[in-house]
Amino acid sequence: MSTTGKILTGIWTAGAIVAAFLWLPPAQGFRSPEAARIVVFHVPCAILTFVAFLVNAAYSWLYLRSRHPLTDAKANAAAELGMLFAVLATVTGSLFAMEQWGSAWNWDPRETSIVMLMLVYAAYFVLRGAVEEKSKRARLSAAYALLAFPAMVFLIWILPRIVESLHPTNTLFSRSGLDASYRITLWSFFAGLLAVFVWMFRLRLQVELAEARLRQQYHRDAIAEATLAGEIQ
Amino acid sequence: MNPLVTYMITPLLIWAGIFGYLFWLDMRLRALEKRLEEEARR
Repeated sequence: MSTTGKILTGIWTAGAIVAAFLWLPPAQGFRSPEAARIVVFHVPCAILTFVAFLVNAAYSWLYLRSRHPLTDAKANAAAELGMLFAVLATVTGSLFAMEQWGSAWNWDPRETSIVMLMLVYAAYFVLRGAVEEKSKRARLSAAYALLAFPAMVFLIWILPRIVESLHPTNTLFSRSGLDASYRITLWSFFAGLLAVFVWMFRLRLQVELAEARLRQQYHRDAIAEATLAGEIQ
Repeated sequence: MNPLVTYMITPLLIWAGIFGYLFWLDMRLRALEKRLEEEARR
């Protein structure tokens, strides 16, 4: 991402945060109308968790078709970001629950499902860490990611809707849900976070490429040393 | 906890998470680039 893009992202998200504090009115119908502003920060993190795991599944599928190492690196980067946003959604959600429902953790279906989701993707990282051979690791983790994807859709979209939950549903798009000013601020913050997501994703890939270059360099050095040792003998 | 404090902590936590990850990535990238430079000089 260019420096201008980074500065604009910073200004945009800072603007959304300021709007949440100064422009939004206290929300009606909440136990703590002031603390309801947390929704503006919590919900975009939860949506980005879904987006990141969706990107992970898409690149995993592409990897199995192309077998290109960069595609595997992209799938891994997306999973890492998904985990980061899942943790942020959980922590911010707990703060909101503490104010709204009187306890930071209530074993609500959505709370339970995000814990299960984090365990599913923690296993993805364990799998990646357990296999040393690169192409085998990429193949196995891509297959696992494709199996994890339907579980993720079930845990995020289906389970909380079929079981009674403290979380409301259909509040983001319908007019009967959140107040318009809340929806504007929430989606503005989401847009800013999405730009940060792209920035982090690209930076993660740069790290991956630098690691690959270094491995290549070591490999070349090892071959040169072995050739030299052979010539001396 | 005071609701005002709670909702002011929330964006700070998000930024702490994001910048923590960005900082870690940046440090790792710098360290790798330095090692690549050293390897190229050898």
